[in-house]
Formats: sequence, structure tokens, C-alpha cells
Amino acid sequence: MADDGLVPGIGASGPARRTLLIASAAALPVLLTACRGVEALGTPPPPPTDVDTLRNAIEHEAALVASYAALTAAGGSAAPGSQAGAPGSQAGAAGGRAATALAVVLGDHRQHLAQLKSRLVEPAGHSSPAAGAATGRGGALETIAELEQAEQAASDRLIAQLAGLPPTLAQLFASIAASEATHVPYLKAARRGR
Amino acid sequence: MGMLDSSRRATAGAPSLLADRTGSADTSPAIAALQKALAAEQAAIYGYGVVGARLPQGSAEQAAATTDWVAHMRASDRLSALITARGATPVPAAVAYELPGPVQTAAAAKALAATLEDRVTEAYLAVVALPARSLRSFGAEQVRAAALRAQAWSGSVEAFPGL
Repeated sequence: MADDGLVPGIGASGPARRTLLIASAAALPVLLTACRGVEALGTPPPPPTDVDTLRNAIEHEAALVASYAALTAAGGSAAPGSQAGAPGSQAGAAGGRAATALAVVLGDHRQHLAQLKSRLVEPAGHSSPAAGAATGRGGALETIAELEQAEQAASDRLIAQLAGLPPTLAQLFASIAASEATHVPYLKAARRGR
Repeated sequence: MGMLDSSRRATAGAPSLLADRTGSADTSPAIAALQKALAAEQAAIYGYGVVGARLPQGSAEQAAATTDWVAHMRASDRLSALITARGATPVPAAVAYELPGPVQTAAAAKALAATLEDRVTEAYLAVVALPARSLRSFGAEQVRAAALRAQAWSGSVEAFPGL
């Protein structure tokens, strides 16, 4: 997304359409260069892969939040053997555990999303990368088993994207990847009523 | 590092666990981060000995503690190799470490295991901050592995392990 890169002063995008990565060490030299006028532009800088990576992570995280929110609103009833509508029964107890687990994991994902979004400065009026993400990543996931698979995939994807990121963002990605990996056994245990 | 800050060798005059004992002039960020991770792994190896001793003999939990202890031994070996390959000397393990509190029950042992894993997670995040792709990837995999072990012991999850 060339329009959203760390390329102030270059091209038609202009300051109003810039997207900056907070605390990006790579951003500083570019910003300083911009202060020296056109002659300092020289060779165009490399594409802002870290910004694209962050925006991609935000989209995936928003999709997970939407899926968990939908399943939580449904009471976790899509979970096999965890119907929430049978209070007092074994299935009802299992459904209660699953619903609790879904709410806990949803809380984690909301924190992930907030932290990721805080690393990106979007100009006013710019569409958020999270907008429409709930349906733009393959649709909402409907069962806890599907969510477990999505968690593992999200964890793997974040770790695969670490190269080239600023150190603090790499640490955030690694921590979120770890959190999402732990959601898998956590959800499995809840789904099995343990 | 929480539990480890007050850790000392049992022998009088022994160096602090976290002191620079590399015996090398190389104080690069990579060496420092790897040494920190190694120190956390060594503490975990010691700690799992305590954990295993407090869990029921022959139980699945004791077997899990053994499995995790082996994982930390292997990670320690890997870190030592990485440090040596960079011309530095791996920090030696202490003979004994001060525990954060009494570990008299199985519940306390499981809580200690989770704490050990939290410390290991923190230490590997410093490796993730390194620019070298291979070290960053290695650190992230170890962060994830430690967080998974912590989850298994605590039964709970957290949004930002190690941060």
C-alpha cells in the first residue's frame, strides 16, 4: 500500500494519507530526510512492509474478535456437546464452561486488537483496516473447533511475519502469537468440559 | 527476574546468577539476550526438580514435569551452542536458587512451574527483539512453547505472555 507508507513528501499521497508505525526505528531516518527538501529524496525507500504487516495483523485480529463476539452472543451453542440451553444438565455445565472460555478469549483478542491498533496512526477519515474485516477474511467462524484452528493459524502467521519488524512490534507479535497458541488447549479443555 | 533476582550460589563468595560471567569481551545485545535466556532456562531446570518432587509419584502431572524439564534442558543446550558460536562463554548455572516461597503441596508445585515458565517467556522476548532473523524466530518459538507450558500448569490464559 504505497499510499499508506512511510514516505512523507513523496508522491501524491501527501501528509493527509500517511500511515505511520509508532515506535518504528525505520521511520526516523525517513522523517529526518523529509526535512531536507526535495534534493534529499534520492532513491525511493523500500516498501513499508512493516506497516502492511501490522495492518494485516489488525485485520485478522478484528476478524477473530467478530467471530468470538458472534459465538459468545449465541451462547457458545455451536460447540459440540456444549449446548448452553440446558441448565443443570451435564451438557449445560459443559456449555457454561465453553461460554466462559469464549468470553475470556474474546477479552484477550480485544486487548490484542487494541494494542495492535495503537501501534498504527491513521489520519482522520482514513478507513480503519479493521473495517469490514469480520466478513473479509472468510466469514465468521461458527464453532469452537473452527476457532481453535484459526487460533493456531493466527499464531503461526504472526511468528512467520517477525522478520524486519521493529523490535518492540516483533515482541508484541510474539507475545500475541503465544497467547493465541494457548487459546487452543484452553478452548479444547472447555469444550470437553474440563 | 522475580524469583531469580535473589538467587545466589549456595557457596559463599559465589557470583550472582545474573552477573556477567561470560568471560568474553563480547557484550553485544545478542550475547546479552542469549545469556539472559540461558539463565532463565537454568533456573527452570532447577525449579522443575522441585516441582517434580512435590507432585504425586507416578502421576501424569509428574510425567508432564519431567517432559518440561527435558524441554528446558534441550533449550539450555541450544542456547549454550548459540552463545559459544558467537565466541562467548555460556553463563554457568548456579548450584541452588532461592525459591519464591515454600513449595510443600502439589498446588504450590504447579504454581511454581507456571511462574518458571513466565520467567522463561520474559527472557526469550529479549531474544525476539534481536534483528537477526534466525534468533528472532527461535526466540518467538520459545516464547510460545513456554506460554503453552505455563497454560498447561495454570489452566488459564493471558493476553500478553511475557510482556
